Amino acid sequence: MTIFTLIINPLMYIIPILLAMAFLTLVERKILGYMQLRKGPNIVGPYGLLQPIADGVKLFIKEPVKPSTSSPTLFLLTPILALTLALMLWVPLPMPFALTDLNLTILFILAVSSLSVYSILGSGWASNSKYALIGALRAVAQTISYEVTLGLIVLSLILFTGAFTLNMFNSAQETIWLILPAWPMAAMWFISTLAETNRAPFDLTEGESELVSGFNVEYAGGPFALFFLAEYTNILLMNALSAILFLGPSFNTVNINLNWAIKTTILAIMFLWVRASYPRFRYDQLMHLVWKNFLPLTLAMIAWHISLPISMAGSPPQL
Amino acid sequence: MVMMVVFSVMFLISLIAVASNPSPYFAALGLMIGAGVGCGMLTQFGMTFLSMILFLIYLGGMLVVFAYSAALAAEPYPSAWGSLEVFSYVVGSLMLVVVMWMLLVNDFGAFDEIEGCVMSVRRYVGVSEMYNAGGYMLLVAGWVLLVALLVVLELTRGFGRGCLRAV
Repeated sequence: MTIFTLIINPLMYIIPILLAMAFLTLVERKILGYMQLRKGPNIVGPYGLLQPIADGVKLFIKEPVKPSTSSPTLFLLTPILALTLALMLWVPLPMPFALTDLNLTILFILAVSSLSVYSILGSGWASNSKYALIGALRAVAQTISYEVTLGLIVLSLILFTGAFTLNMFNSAQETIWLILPAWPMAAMWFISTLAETNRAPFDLTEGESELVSGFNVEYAGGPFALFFLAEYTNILLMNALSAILFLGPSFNTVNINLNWAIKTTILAIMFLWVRASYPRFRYDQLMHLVWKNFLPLTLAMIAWHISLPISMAGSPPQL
Repeated sequence: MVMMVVFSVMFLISLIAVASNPSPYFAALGLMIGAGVGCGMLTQFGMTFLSMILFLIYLGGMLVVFAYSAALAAEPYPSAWGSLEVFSYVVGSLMLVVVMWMLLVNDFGAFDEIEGCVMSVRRYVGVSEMYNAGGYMLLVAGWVLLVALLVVLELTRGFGRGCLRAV
C-alpha cells in the first residue's frame, strides 16, 4: 500500500504533467510558426507530433558539460531542485482525487514557487561565469519583484473568497467568475504571471543579444533539459492556477476536469500569442512597471477588497 | 515523532553549516535549509499558518536578498565543508552539539507531548494570541522595529545627505 501512495501516485501526476509540458513546447513552436507564416516542426512524426520526444531524447543523450571552474555539487543540484519544485507545485491543486488536501493551499503554492528563485540563483552562481551570474541576478530581481505583486493580488482574492483553500475558490465562484468583480486584479495577475515565469515580453533573463542565454549558459544536455522542463511546467501551472483563481472551473460536474483543462489551454495559448506579438521590455521599464505601477495599485486594491464585502454586507462563503 | 527527530537533526546540521564559517554563499544556503526545516518543525507542532507565513516571508523574501548580495561578492576560491578550516569548525560544532545533548537532553520524550492535541486549534489563533499574551515584550519589539525603520530611512535618505552616497 505504501508503494502505491509513495511511488505510483506521484508518478500518475508526474507523467501526464511532463507529457502535457512536452506538447506545450510543440504547440508553442507550431503557433509561433503559423503566426510568422511558416509551418513550424512538421517532419518528425505526423504534423511534427513526435518532435518534443525527439528533442528530449537528443538533450538527454548529449554529454552534460561540467565547467572545470564551477562549483560541482551546487551546479548539478540546482536543476534537480528546479524540476522538483515545479512538480511539487502540482500536488495541492484541487483535482477531484487530489494527492493532498491542504488547508492553506494558496500559501503553500506561493511559498514553494518562491523557492524556485534559489535554483536560478544557485545555478547562475555555481557555473562561475559572468554571463550566468548576471543573468541569474537579473532573473532573481525580476522574479522576486513580481512575486510581491502576485502575493498581494492573491491576498485581495482571498478577501473575496474567505479562505486560503483553492477548493473555496470553486465554491466562491459558483455564481460568478472572479474575473468580473476583480478584473483589474485579473489583468495584473496575468501580466505578473508572464513576468514570473520569465515569458516573452519579460524574458530579459535570456535576452540573447545582451546575455548569451541567461543563467543557464553553462548548462548542456540533461541538466539544461531539467531547467527547460521546469520552466514549461511552471508556465502550465501558472495558467492552471489563473484558471482556478479567476475563471471558476467547477470540479463537481460529470466532465470532471475538462472545464479546467480547456480554460488552462486557452490561457496558455494567450501566453504564446503574447510572445508572438510583443517586443521585449527594457529592464528599467520592467522594474518601473512592477514597483511604480502594480505595487501601489495592488495596495490600494487591497483596501478596496477589504472594505467592499464589509460595506455590502456580502461576507465571503465560510465553512 | 520520527519526522520531528529528522527535522531536528537536519536543523542542527544546517545550523552547523552556518556556524562553521564557509563562504557567505554557502552560509546563506545553510540558513535557507535551516529556515525551511524549522518551518517543518512548526508544522509538526500544528502551527501550519505560522510556518507557511514564515516560509514565505523569510525564505521567499529576505533570504533571497541575502543570497543575492552574497552572490555579488566575488570570491575566487569559495570554501565549503571540503576545506580544512571549515571542516575543523564543523567537527568542533558537532562536538559541542553532542556534549550539550549529553548534558541537557535526557530522552526523546520532549517531542511527543505536543504532537496531535492542538492540531486544529492553534492554526489561526497565533496572531491574536501574540497580541493577547505579548505584554511589554511586544511593546519593546515594536520599538525595535521603529528604530530599525528610522535607521534604514537615515541610511538611504537622498543622494547627498545620508550614509549611502556612492550609489
